[in-house]
Amino acid sequence: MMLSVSMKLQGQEVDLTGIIEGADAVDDAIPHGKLLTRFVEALLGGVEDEIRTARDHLIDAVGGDAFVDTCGVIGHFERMTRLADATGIPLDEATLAGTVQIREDLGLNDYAMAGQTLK
Amino acid sequence: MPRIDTIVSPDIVQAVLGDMAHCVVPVRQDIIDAHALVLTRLALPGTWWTGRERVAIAAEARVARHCHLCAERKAALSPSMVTGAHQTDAQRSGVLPDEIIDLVHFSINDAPRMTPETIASVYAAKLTEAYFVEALGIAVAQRSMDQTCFGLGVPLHNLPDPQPGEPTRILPETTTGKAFVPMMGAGQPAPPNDDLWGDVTAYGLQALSLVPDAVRDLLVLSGAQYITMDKAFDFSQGRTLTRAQMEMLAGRVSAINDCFY
Repeated sequence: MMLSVSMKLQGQEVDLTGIIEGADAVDDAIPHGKLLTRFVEALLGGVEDEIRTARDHLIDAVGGDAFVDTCGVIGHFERMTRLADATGIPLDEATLAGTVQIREDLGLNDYAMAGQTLK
Repeated sequence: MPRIDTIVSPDIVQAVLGDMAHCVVPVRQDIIDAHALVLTRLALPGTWWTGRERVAIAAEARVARHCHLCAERKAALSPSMVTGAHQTDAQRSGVLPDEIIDLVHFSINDAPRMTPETIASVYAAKLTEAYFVEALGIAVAQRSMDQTCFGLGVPLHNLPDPQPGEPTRILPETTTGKAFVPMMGAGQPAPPNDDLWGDVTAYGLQALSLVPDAVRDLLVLSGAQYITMDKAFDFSQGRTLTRAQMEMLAGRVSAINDCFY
């Protein structure tokens, strides 16, 4: 939802399919979206050669400062996903209300924690 | 910013600076400062765990990445179908109860399948949910810093030497029923915890509020690695990356981790 909101603030709609299906499906409306997503996938996959390649491509495309931002954001959400699931927190009300269609479209309601999170 | 009176260890700052110097591009100073502060606080006695125990929890979060039992359990239809022993940090053997080691590994490797019953295993070790919440806060902070270092292509930070002292064992006022663990309510907390959030908060912050200092550590790290709380709900705010790029990263990390939230 936060991606949708931030794109709408720029006057754009975004196809969120790439969030679920991966880099090749990322909407070109997000600058360098495919490269950013490939770096996430390489880093969380943990294969050093793939991480190095994805890192080099990303730095060439977005520059050093945005690359550092990328690493920080990935690290942050590696934390928050585990924190949310391990404590069983529900979705905040605004998020719940604003994501009915997105959750349906992306099949998110089938996730293991959906029952708890939608409480 | 949260109220934190910890004086950052100069040795830890130098160590973090040395690690970050391996990056092929300059790393922001606020990330270096945040990692150094969180590592300094890790070594100190916490609310429920001693410094030695806190460092051992961080070590378990790191070792869990390669745990064979966790991999087998994650692949099983139900985690309870697989039994055995975790791969643990040999240097700190015997420091932590087995139940906490299991919960740390579970939180790192299979969090979407955790339930209130999973967490209730702390009672078998004669502990409470507050011990779990502090341990979780440490484990996920370590995971966050380690993944950032992996991404940057720099060495993982050495874990700090534990500092002596006793935990404070101060329990804030909380309510139950919204999550697996008790949490503070949504309004601004009363002093001395009124620095945690104002009138607006989110469950992601409240999740650790049974241990207020765990929320403070979260705020320190998230303010540097993601965005500060005063900008979190303003979606026009980003960094060098646009907010849309940041939220796309967030969404993809969540999807890979099977996180509905």
